[in-house]
Amino acid sequence: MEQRPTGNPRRAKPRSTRLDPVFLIACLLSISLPNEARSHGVLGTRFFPSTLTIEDPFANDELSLLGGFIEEPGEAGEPSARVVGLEVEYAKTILPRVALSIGDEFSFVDPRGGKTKRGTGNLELGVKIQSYTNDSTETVLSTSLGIAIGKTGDTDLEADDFSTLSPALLLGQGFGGLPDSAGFLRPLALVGLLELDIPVEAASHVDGERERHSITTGWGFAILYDLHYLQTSVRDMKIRAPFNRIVPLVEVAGETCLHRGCSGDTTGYVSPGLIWIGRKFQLGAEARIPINDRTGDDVGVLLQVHLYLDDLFPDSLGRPLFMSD
Amino acid sequence: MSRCWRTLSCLLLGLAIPAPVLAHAMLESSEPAAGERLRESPPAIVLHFDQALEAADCTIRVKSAEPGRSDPPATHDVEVVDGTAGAGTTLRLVLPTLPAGRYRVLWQAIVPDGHRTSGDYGFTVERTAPDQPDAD
Repeated sequence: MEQRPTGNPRRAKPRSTRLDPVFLIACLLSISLPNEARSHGVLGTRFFPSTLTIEDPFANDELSLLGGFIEEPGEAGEPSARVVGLEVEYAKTILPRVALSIGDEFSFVDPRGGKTKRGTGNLELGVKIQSYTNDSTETVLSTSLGIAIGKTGDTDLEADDFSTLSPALLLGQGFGGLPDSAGFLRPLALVGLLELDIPVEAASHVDGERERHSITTGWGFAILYDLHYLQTSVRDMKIRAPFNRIVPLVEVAGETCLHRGCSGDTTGYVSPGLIWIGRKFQLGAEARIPINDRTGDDVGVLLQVHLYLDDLFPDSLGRPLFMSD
Repeated sequence: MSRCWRTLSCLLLGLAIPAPVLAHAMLESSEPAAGERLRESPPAIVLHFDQALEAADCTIRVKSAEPGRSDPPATHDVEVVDGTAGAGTTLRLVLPTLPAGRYRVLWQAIVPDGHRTSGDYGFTVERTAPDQPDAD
């Protein structure tokens, strides 16, 4: 669910002695625009942490490490398998509120009674545009486009041999605007995601058989309760550091097949957990509870270390290539 | 040098120019605290932030949350003072004596790079000071 696009490799251009307009624009942008970085997901006085399961709507400089363990059911009579995964994603702003990302996942799959497999999934590239941000209403809307590049993962892990495009809409909404009578609901925030996963090829041939690729929709939402917001904007509950930086949350995320023989089939997880927010990084942990038998029977675990590169390296890696705020 | 390399070198040059540390100032704590009920009027609103602030542009306003009651007058300017997080990290607004009632603090904090955060919270004064007439 976290994929982003790519550009084609640049082709060689003939040399020219004339002043190159692209070169000129690049120089003007890098020298004349203000040198400025943006800190993470802040709307008014509300801080949105990066959620573990659902892509968050903020375009930032960040490095996310996500590790997990779960038992997945086997398909078509195959045994279930214990899966340990480590996902790495790096996001880089090229403009304020526009970020590119690259990510991949290393998996260790141990089928019951079968041979252990390990390897990487398909490389995922993406772009995210934070298109609407309103501090006073605590609203942010973003669009993203991802691509999982076929044939870049290990065939042992049955990585797709076709690429998948994933356009998505992302929402962040804080509830600080609720009236005082609903004061204890004001620390609530909602993050939402709706995306399509569209294979670029309708079908491929595996062992002489034609295998159709389905379009699926990825969906999800997260409900967060910000204790820092509660303390500073609603009522000081005397919760002190480090506990005042905890954000309890529940994420619900899944995938639903839209057509080609599997219409309506859904898998997903309910993931309750905690995020602890530091000044330069955050830590997260969630349980992963399957939403139905198709997803599985066992509860998994998801752990996150998320680095705020804009705070760690504000003068270099952590700021947009071109800045115009 | 190819166009690609010239463009890339120019971008790297831009990256190498030092930039100020930029982030939003986050409110750490306040006096009175959010939701606090005070026996008497507080002498001042004090807001503690996690980083240094730009003195000229920060604001604190105190508004009455009682229907039909006028807001307390602004008798002093907002000051930036040293706080627990370092020099210039705390905002203070000296208040006139407030009559009993509910109040709302609206604040805006701006750091030297121009990034701003804002927020609000409420507190209650339970008793009017003996030498203070009741508000209408």
